[in-house]
Amino acid sequence: MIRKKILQKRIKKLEESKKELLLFNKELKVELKDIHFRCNDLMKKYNALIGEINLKYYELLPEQKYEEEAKKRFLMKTGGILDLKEPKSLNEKIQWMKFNENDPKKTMLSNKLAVREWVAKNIGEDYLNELYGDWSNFDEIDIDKLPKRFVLKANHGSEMAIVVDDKNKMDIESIRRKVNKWMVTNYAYKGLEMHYKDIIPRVMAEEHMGASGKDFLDYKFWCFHGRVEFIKTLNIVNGEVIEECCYDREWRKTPFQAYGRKIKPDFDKPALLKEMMEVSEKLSKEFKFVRVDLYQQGKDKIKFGEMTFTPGNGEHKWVPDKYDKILGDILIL
Amino acid sequence: MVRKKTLEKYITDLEKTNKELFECNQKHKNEIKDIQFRCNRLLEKYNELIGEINIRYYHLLPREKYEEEARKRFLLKAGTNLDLNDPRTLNEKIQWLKFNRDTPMKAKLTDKIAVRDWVREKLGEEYLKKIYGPWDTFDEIDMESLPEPFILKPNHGSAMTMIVKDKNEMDMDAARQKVNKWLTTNYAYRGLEMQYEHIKPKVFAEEYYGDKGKDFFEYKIYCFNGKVGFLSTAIRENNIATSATLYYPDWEVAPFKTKKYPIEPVKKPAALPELIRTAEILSGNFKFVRVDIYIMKDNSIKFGEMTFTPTNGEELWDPLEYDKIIGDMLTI
Repeated sequence: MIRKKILQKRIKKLEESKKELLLFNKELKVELKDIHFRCNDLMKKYNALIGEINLKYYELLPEQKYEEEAKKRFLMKTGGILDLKEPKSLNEKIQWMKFNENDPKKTMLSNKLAVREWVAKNIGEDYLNELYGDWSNFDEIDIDKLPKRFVLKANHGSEMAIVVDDKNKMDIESIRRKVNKWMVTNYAYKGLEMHYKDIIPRVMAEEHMGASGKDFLDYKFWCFHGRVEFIKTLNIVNGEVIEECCYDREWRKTPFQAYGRKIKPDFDKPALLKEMMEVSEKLSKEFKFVRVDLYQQGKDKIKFGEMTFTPGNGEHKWVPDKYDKILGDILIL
Repeated sequence: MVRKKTLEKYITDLEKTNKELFECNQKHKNEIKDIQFRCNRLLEKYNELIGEINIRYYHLLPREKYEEEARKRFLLKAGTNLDLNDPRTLNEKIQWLKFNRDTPMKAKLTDKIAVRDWVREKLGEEYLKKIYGPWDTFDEIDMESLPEPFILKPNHGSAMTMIVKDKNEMDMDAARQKVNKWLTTNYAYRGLEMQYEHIKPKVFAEEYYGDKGKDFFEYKIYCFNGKVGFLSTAIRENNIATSATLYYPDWEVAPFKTKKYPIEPVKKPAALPELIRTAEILSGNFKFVRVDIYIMKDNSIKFGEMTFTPTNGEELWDPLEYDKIIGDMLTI
């Protein structure tokens, strides 16, 4: 009996220490999670720093080295050689125009504020979404006067937008930092797209275009000599491309795609396709090449998005890649 | 008997599980510690790299872009626009002076060695701490001549010091690397404070007088057109500032502060009139300069440094509107 008691005592002790060990194991798991988080944070910082180094390098790079740099970038991005002496492919021609056609009008139309006047004059104000205001830094924004939901955007480049679904729930500090960072960034130096260089940075608040999905798609009209040659349709959710596909004027899937990723061949033909093409062609008529981005809002409204003279910075990966040359033939420099 | 055997088997199993758990925990604990250490090192290196990139970028940046760069820095730091065309706030005026009134005299007084001539001439040798050196490289330092403990500093910038308590315990390779790094860094390009640009870097040593705020006290005295506008002193714990209070020359606590530190008033120092007199003599004919002066353990007054661009004209004054109010004190 005594012996059994000793054994039971021993068991109790061992069970207790097992409990403790398991508890400690749990704590370690929490610490592990924390480290994962820190590693991810470091990785994010590292990537941001690479972008920052690139910006500073391009800012200091002498202009006569731009074409050489474009060639290096092109090889890294697409794997192909960029020939700017005898441009044949669409990418080459887009890049050739970037470096050789210095048109102040392109700067004006790349400015998301200035382009609004042009659009109003050429196709009418109805095509513009509502602009609530524009300011030179975050603190100047009178948030009280904005509606509950809106979009903050920079006027001087792409990929600078914050969708605010509820202004009462936004993280002011983080948004202030982001917006002010935009304001001190010259977007031209992200990829040597120099027509952005002289745009004075402003932050603008625009109408929230509704949730992404069925009723909110992005249509990009590739216009060559004033004619829509194909339309790239994108479904973008939270700034990320979910699905995309290129169509011809009759809404047949084209034999080529840009990047060839996440292709969804059966986007519905927009009811307003004809009007959208007319609008794009009106806006593009005086340019050899420009991409016009439009949205369909609700069932019967078309809204202007932006005009882009150097889509993908002339570094598109066309699939199959022979189409870079075939599309290039349509564009006569 | 069967029951006993079952119990014994149960115990062996438990012992085995516990041993495995213990070893597993130990292994993970060590791994986590190791990764934490490496994360911290990476973060340190990352921050060093940012500084290094910035210095190199500023080295190459053409001079006509300095003001634009100052505006960008200011917006990121303070969240407001820096107006250098019509400077009104103290920050704006300090920066305007930085870019428009940089003189060889300011460069001379910014050099921690050359400024000693000015102090000697204006006040006398007794206001200067004894220094050893200067030397051009770490290996030239005459270690034998130095008292213990001592502090090493360069003449050409701030925030670079090394305290040595015991010469024999010094990690010479690490110290050499650190000091020689100072000597190859042009401090001007840390934040475009060009008064530092032409100072020839040297390293010198001082006797180490103990902790600031405990063994001696530092007063940062802001002088406007030769008159003290306000002064500040910090309370420190373990040599790290925990509060910083600003005072008017009559030791009335100022209604503003820097955003970084809370206010915690202390008693007026007996030597206040002497501090003010000293600062005003040294501030000479300059429109604006901050003079740092120490009251030592033996109550003697020693000169610290003169700074024409405190916090690089990027101070976060709190409340913010005081940047403009104290800016009015400075006529440029």
